[in-house]
Amino acid sequence: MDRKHSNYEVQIIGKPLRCPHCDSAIFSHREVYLDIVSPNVDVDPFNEDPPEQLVLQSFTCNDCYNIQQFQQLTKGMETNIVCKQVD
Amino acid sequence: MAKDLNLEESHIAILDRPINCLFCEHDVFIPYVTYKNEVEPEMYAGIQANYTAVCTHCGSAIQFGEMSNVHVNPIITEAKLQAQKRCLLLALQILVQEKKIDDTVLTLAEEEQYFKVMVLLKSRTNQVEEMPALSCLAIALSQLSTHNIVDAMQVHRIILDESYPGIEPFLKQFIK
Repeated sequence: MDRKHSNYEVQIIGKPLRCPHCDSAIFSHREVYLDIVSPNVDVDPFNEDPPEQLVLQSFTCNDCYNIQQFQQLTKGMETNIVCKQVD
Repeated sequence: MAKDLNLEESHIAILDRPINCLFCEHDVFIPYVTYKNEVEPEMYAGIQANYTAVCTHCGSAIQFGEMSNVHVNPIITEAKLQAQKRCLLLALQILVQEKKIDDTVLTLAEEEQYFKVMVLLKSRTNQVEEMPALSCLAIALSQLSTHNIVDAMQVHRIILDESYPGIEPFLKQFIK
């Protein structure tokens, strides 16, 4: 998900995203990557595959900084996350 | 508990109370063990394991820092269960064929006596509760690899990439 660091109104599966703490509807966005494979396991030096990662879209409330995270799910041309830039 | 997480659609409960997605209230999640580099100044720099459940309906992610009170119950559909049973029977047929186990195990599997199947497959087991077909299948596949009947890496790749649709034809090619 290519997105610059702006403010957004967000819809998840067609439902407006609100902050559960302060009810704000404006969020900033970051994409975050979580390793799924433990970095402590023995690494095969000949394996050039990058570590498996869980990619989440992270939305931080502009008022209270509460964070909500979603995995982007796509089905054909449809996606669960729709963002509208507001500034 | 962490080793029980297995990228399968699951119901999750904390302290025996089922959890629902905070956004859409659905109750089916994919559980992940996730890791992040964590640096605490003047304390330590280390790897921190977290547990992340992603709602299959809306994608909402819930993170847990501790799993001792969390129970993950994979959802087994009838089709998946039947596929597990077919694969288990194929794996056992191959082990019998290669004379690595007594053929009574086939009768036990057909009668769904999975605890007895488990005991025959793995003489030392301290499990006392009822065994699902999946646990027996995992041990049967492990035995096939240990005895060099099948390529362990190939089995691992098929399980990761294709799950049951791939395991069944793979095992069938070893039946004489």
